[in-house]
Amino acid sequence: MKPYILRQKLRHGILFLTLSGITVLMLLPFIWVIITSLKPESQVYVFPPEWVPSPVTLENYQAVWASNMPLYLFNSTIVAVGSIILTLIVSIHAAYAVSRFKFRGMNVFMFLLIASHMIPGVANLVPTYLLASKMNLLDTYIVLILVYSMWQTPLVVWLIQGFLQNVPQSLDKAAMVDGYSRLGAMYRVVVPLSKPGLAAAAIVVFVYAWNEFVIALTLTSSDEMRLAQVGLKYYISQFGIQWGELTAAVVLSTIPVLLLFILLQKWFIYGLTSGAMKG
Amino acid sequence: MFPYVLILPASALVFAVALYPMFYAFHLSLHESALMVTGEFVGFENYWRLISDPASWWNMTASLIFVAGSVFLAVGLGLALALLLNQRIAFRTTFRTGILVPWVVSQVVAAMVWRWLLNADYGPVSMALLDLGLPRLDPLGDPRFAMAALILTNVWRSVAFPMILLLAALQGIPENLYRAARVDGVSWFTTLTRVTIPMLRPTLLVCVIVLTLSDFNIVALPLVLTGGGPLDSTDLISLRLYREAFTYFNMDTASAIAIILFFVNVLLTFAYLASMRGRR
Repeated sequence: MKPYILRQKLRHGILFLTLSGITVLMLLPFIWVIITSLKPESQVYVFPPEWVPSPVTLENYQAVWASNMPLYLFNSTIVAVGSIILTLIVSIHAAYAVSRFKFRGMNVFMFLLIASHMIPGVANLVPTYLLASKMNLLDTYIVLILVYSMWQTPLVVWLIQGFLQNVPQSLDKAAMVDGYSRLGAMYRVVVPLSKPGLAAAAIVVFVYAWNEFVIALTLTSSDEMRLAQVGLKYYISQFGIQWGELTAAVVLSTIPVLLLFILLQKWFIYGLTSGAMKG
Repeated sequence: MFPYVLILPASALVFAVALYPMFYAFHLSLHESALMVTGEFVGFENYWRLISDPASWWNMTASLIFVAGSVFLAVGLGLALALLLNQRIAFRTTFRTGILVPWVVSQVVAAMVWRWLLNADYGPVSMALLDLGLPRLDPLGDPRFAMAALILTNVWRSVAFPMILLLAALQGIPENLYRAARVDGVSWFTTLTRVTIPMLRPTLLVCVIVLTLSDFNIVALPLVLTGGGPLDSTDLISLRLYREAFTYFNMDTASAIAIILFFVNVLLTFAYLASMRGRR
């Protein structure tokens, strides 16, 4: 073999090994959690820790399934889906207005969106909590859906607006010649053409709503309204942590987002990084 | 009229749930309050109390250490990962997917996973330290190491974000710049510092500012991982705000911190917008 090719091969080998090592390291914390979730109670608390559960057991998952965790996962799903629907409805209309019309106050509107983006979530939480309490909205799905949708609307308007720009205005006109109203043209022709944008937006909202913790923790109090992330936190009690069950709950609550990520990686990355690239 | 009807729902939502509450927070910060009841007007007294309290200065310092450490490491390592992944190599997409996984899980999950990994009694890190002949240590229970553990966890969770942005930016650098460098016989390292990094500068800046903002406002991760402890060693300003409001129900103090935090965010965002504009 020529020395040039040999060097090339060696370089590739080292690069491959480095990247494999890094990937394993990044995933190792999860692997450890998954292993723990499959161990019987007696094997969780031994030192030195063992990397292979023997026997493999699903008892932690059964315990989590028998607890209130399924209810929390259900609540998270309701709030996430509600937030997707509200955010998309509100944002599609606004994005259409921004991409199709020039109107007085448009800059004020865009400034409003950016300004709301500058507000730190944790700073907004204090007044939101007090206002929600005054309006008797604490501990409801509605308040969570409203707050989540508000935080995602500026980004989603931006995202959808970008897609609408690429739909030629002549299509709106053609649809209106065919007898559709402005709104009809928007619903039937323009919006369906920007489906990828809507999909990316829906993913962004879902992941945000599913993963959010602090707002859900403060705006809900009863067990029936608890979301999955908050439910995880309650595994930490003053009597210590049931690590076997907790790790199983962590795995279960992460599966939806992980599945979405692996299946729709392209849109996932697109949606979650587009917010950073605006300006 | 039509466009106004279209933007009305979005405007109403943003006004009612974001802007109005912030005005309300400002109003609260100028009043005394006991539990949920707003008392009399006290001017800037809540702010003065905060400024004259050494604890708040530590909260700010802790946030500064946390943000600086997290951002520096995340952007640095993100760049290194992007450079590694920007080469022709088998299973490149698999590596990328694997490295991205910590980025898509929630902060609570990240905190839980690391609490278990770093557990002094039963965790593999503890065992690895013993195997290396080092003393057993409890990073989350030791004030000397808690901040490092918090930063480490945060970097693990957020490094994929700069990596992805930088990877996209790397693919946008014209190939002929590298060809020219090769013709001139420039070394690998000089190419990196003289061609690649200057071309990546705008993206690096975006990464730094976006991460600074999100790290500065972070609550869930430190709340679940360390809760601000031990001995306040990880008591960030964002955590202090959360605790004043929802543990002690000092809504006046909490509102004053919220307004301070808001202005820090405004400043950072303007820096961000200015840097974006300077690019064009």
